[in-house]
Amino acid sequence: MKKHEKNNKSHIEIEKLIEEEKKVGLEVFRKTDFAAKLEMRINASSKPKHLLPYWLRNPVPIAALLLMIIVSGLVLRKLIVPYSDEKSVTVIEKFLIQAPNMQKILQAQESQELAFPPGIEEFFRFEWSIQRVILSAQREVIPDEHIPFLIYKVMYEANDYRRRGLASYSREENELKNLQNEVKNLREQNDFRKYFFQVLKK
Amino acid sequence: MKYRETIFCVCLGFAKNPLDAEELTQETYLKAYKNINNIKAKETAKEWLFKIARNTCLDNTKKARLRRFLRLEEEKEPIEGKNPEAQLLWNEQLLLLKKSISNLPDKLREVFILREYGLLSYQEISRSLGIKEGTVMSRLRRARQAVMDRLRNEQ
Repeated sequence: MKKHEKNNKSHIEIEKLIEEEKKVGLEVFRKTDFAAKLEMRINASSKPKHLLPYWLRNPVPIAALLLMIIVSGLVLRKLIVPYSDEKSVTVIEKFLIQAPNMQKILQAQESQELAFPPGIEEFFRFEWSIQRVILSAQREVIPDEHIPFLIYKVMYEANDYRRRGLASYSREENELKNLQNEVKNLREQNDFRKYFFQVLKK
Repeated sequence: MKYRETIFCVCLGFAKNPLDAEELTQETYLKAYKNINNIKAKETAKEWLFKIARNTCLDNTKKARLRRFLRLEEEKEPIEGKNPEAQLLWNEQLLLLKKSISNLPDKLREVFILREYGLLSYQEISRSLGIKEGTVMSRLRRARQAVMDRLRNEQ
């Protein structure tokens, strides 16, 4: 019974405290313009939201994202595109050509490599004439006593070539090529003889 | 807006001071405005509003606990120097009562506050919380007992 009474007393005390708290709270609450505040919040919440998320509107994440894309792009390019020696050579070549005095050096080197020593063309022609005589002797039956005469003729011809000089080189070269082709095509003895006499007549 | 003072009283039961309670009331009405179409046919506007208020307050309590746990917010006493009127009336006993209520388990606390602060009937509480009236009564009895025990022990 005592406990019950005690509990009731405590409960009444609690109720009183709560009433007191509510009274003070409501006084504060009534002073505030609740409706105006609420309207303001409703208006703020009903504003259209940004289409892009916050992190896309902020410059720092965008810069970081771009940097990541660029770096990953470079890495992927390294991985996917095969290494090209030819390309590297071209790049080095371009670099060297642009270097000071490199053009002159290259030109000098090129001219040295391509220039024949004086009189070499005549030597080639002479050599070819000898070969031509020997080739003809191998392919066709030529009496041995004729060979020295033929070689003599060739040597004579070589002197003639030397005199003509470098100007007529290309023309002679073409003619020789034509003759070479003709030799290859010769099959019969009569043809060969005709050809041989043509050469000797020159 | 008919129930705004009652809602405020319920929020005051969960909050530590009238300013926080007002903020919770605003939040409750804002949620109600946004979800006005979600009201169920079988529940009254009052029950629906109290359900929102209760959920809002419990969410806020959880967040406040988390903030305190992470040391982002220090535990404030209900008596704040901001409001002189409150400072006069909120005596030591009231502070103790608030602590006792806040230490109750959520299930007991919500029933206690809806009954003592919101003055809701057992039926209204049972419909708002979706529990039986018998459960409301037993929870309320246990809650009252726990608060009284705590007050007695502290005194």
